[in-house]
Amino acid sequence: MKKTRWRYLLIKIIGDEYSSGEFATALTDTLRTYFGSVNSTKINPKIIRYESSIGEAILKCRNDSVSIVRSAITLLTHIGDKPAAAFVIKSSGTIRSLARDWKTKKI
Amino acid sequence: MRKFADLNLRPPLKDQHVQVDMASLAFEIGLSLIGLRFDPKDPPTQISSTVRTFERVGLEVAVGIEICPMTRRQLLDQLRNIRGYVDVLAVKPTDSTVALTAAKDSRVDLISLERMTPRTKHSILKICEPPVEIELSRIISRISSINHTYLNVLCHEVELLNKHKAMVVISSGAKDVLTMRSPRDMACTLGSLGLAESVSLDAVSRIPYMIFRRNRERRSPEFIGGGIKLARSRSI
Repeated sequence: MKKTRWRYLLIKIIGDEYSSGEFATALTDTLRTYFGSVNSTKINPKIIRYESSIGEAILKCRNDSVSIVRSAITLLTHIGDKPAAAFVIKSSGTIRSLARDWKTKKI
Repeated sequence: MRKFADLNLRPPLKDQHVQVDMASLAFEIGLSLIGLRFDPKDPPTQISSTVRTFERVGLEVAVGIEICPMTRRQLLDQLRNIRGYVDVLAVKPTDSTVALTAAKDSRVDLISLERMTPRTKHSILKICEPPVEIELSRIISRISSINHTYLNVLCHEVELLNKHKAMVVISSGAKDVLTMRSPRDMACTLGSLGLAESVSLDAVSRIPYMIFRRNRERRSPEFIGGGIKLARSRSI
């Protein structure tokens, strides 16, 4: 069986301050609305880290579905009922390099 | 390494705070060239102050004007009057005659097919010289959720663009930070609507830069004509 390859995305969220759950729900809803329930289940993006105070998150998704996740992030306009926007700042094959960026920014 | 561009940002002229926020976000999301889009009637002092705000964060700035002529005569007049003063000249035609004229004119940098019917789009794309601009703000609005009707129209437009192998430029058309988008994300969105990956990446990097460099060269004092440049001058 072929090993699943993952991709990690560093995401910046702007707007209000949102909880990790609110962001995850908004992203799943957007994926489901535009790419269907089947695709949404297959992709199943996971939030690895989330920092609401600086509005940044690290998201894990399958390597072959990065473009769909990026599209969903582009099409995300609301989190909860509040207007929001999200951007992929960096994409990497290992969580280590993203975590390094994350730490540097925090300092 | 690719350098990314967004040729259509419309920051509010009077709100300096929003301008600063947009400039720093543009830098953070990996843009290196910004095209600020203005109305022909906007005051030049405010335009230059907005340009300076964006240049301060280290971005290359292209000044663009968008015209929406109602008649062919109006289009030709506006092209003659504005062309020499801006880096990017975009046309948003409201009429098929205007669109067909704009599609054949080499002074036009970008043409938007937003207001055209599918049949008109087809005939324009057959003869279209300038790249076609796709504004993401057509489907992204911060007031409501995504408009499915526009998404459907955009899907058909992408189909036509693929069929005619037209040059494409993807831009955000953002008026504030919430409608701005990262260039790779915009390319992926159009990719998921059916645009080829290489075409969509070129639409946010190679083609906008090509337009910017060509027009900067044309506007330089050394430029004489297509392929002719002043190498050295001697004062008499």
